[in-house]
Amino acid sequence: MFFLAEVFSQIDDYLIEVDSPERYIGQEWNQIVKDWDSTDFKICVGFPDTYEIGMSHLGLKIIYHMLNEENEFLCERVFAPWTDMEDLLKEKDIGLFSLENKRELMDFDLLGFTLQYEMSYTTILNMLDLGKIPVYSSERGKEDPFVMAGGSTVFNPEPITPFIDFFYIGEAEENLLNVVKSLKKWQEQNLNRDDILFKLAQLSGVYVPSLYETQFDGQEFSGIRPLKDSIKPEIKRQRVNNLNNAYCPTDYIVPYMEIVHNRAVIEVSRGCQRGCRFCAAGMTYRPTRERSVEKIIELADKTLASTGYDELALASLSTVDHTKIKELLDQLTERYNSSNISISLPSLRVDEFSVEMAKNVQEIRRSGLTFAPEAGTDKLRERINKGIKEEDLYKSVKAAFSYGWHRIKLYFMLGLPGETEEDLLGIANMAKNVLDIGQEIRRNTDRRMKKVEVQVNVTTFIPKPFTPFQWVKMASMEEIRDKINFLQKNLRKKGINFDWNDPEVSRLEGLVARGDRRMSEVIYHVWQQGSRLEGWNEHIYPERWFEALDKYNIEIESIIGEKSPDQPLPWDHLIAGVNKEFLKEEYRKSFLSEETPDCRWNYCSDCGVCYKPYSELCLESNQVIDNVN
Amino acid sequence: MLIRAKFARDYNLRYISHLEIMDTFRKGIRRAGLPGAYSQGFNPTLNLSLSQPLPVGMAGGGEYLDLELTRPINGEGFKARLNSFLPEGLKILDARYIPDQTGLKSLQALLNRAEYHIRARGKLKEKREVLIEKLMAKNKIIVIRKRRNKPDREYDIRPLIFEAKVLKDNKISFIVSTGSSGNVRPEEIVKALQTLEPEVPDHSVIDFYRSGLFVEKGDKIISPLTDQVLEER
Repeated sequence: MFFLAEVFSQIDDYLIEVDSPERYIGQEWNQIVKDWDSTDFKICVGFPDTYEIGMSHLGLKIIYHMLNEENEFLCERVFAPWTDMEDLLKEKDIGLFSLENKRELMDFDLLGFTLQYEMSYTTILNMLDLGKIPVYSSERGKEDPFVMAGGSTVFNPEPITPFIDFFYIGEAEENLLNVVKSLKKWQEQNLNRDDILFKLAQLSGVYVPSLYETQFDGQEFSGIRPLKDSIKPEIKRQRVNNLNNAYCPTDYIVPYMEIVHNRAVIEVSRGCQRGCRFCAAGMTYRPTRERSVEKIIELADKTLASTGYDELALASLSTVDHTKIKELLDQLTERYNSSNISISLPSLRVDEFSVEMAKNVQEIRRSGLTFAPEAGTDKLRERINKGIKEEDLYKSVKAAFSYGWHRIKLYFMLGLPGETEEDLLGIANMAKNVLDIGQEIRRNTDRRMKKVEVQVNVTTFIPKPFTPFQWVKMASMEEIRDKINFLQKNLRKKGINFDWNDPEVSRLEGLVARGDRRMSEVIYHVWQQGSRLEGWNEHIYPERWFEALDKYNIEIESIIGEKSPDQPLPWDHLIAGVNKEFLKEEYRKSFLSEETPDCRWNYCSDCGVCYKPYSELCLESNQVIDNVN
Repeated sequence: MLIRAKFARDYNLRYISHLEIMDTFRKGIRRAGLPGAYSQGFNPTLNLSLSQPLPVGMAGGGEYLDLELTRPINGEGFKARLNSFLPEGLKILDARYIPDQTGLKSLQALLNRAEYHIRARGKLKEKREVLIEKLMAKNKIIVIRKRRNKPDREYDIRPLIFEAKVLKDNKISFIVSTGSSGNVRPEEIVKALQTLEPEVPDHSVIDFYRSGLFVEKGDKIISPLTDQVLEER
């Protein structure tokens, strides 16, 4: 019989009453359970959303396995409980527990959260509280774990600084192990909490927010600086230079329940330099680093063997941009053809080549294909540096329809800087033209082809930190709603479906994404009102946020209003890679609709990321790089 | 070519659903590199079938699976290999290679008896001996079965209960009919007992354990792995 930790045995029988009890039992294939008592330093990694969301996240898996490789640590997992489980935990007075040894979060030495989505921050507070850990860092003592956070939204950590003891900025493979080992060493030396935090602040990539203070000029943020001279004024993002040499696990945990991305995933490249001016990931994950074809195949073989998955996804910000994508896909399809393994490409560029690639891997079951033109006219796309033309889209969908796809999904953003009615009409026209192209192909084909469907999805543009649009005013909800209504009227056509994200929620995302430390009071207040799991429509109450902003006298415009490029920003103390001069230049060029090409095939745009010649960063085919700085 | 195997789903994995169990076996078979055959069509999957679904929350000690093969493999080898690729709590207990499956009934059509253990609570625990005796002495016991989108139906379950006995640790075992020829759910056994003693409390799915599934042969119940079952096609 397997071992039941005490907290779990008290609750095990009651799990029949909660939805999807598999979320809480662990015990999956490849799970790593180490002996609790004989392991010196205990880490728990948390994802502030449910199991099925969190288990789909690659970063969390890498960290889990990387830390468990070390004998001196154990690393366990915790996810946000659904509301029914939360009620049960409270009723039985059991703390939120890890999936492996089923220990309450308060029993760990270090608790690390993955930051993926601004609206998950109230869930972090809730998980801390359910795990019996004081929510405010300042209230934690010797017996409490250290609470850290990192991930893709860490590039503006300010709104959650009072709740997190320290942040790790950048890619885990580079320096996280060193940080955790140092923390363990200092804890063993019995240093007090403040001394440990002070020492942590000296490490590369570590930001200890309690050692910095922010200043305001009325409502306007006016600067952030360390409290002591011995604390570094700027924190540099950690990054891996060679992805081939970076740690990469292959023995991933295999969940029982159907999770969002339930397949083997290999990261074929990291970063994207196409330079879309709205895209935070495209700016903060530079430069593009590729895994070699041999390495990808080696990882794929091992991962498939160890997990038993029959689907392999090639992940990255733009998979078909891999310089050897064709060779890679040819080799993979040949290799796995006979073993009933399907290959999927999660991100497609808007061009015929991408459709060709998708066709080659997806021999059968072609149904839906997604493209993201982002804006409705060539002019606006030039302004946001999304370098595709309307014609590219038509060529791509033409190829897609003739290869047998019948459903095309198109993603657009509303509220981009400089957007006019012409751009909205552009969205409607593109959708109609795509439909026409599809219907014509359907009429003239002798194959059986399902009815053509065009799905148009729009979201509100959020001007994010570390993008050339970080100074842009976010469009008001009224403005966006008018635009949605306009599109709704213009997209009424059989065969076209139109859907949009709630602009009110986007506004909140914008407020948190660009917020300064004052937002922490708002987040705390909203959580106190009972909010958590706000990524789920049924659990978000925007009015609580607006009430709290009012209560703490925070003017919304002071956060998401227009900023001058010379004004200090709340994230100025972080060095993400791209320098501010580059962002300013890109912002300036956007007004002129001037494009900046990908430096891999063109001249260097001087973004500041390469401290080495680009050719030394692992790219599969170096010969394509003519100009390196 | 087929492998028919008996397996247990332990208490620790009782919250996994039937489809998740199927999927866990499929992945385990792939990890183990066993020669399972795939279905034809758009989405080829391993041709695997399981005995009657175990409800979420219930462990089982005598469940069965059939796996179609592309080449022969002996039962012992299958058992040993697959067990080292399954998570703790899912275990092959016995396996038999069947070279020719022509005329073989599917597991769900074949298995028509189930044995359940009930962890007796309250009045049932107190009066278990008497209640069982009373139950088996009745000719008819009407329980009401709720049906989705249809009116409730009255239902005599006594003819579908074949054996009842008291076990140690306050447990009671029942052998009942299962499958398409008449199915008794363990909570209905408790309902039947409640008609005799209204103070017997409701029992939940976690109070039940399915210790085995069987094929009825005359007055005996036997395993679907026996020669007698396999030869009769």
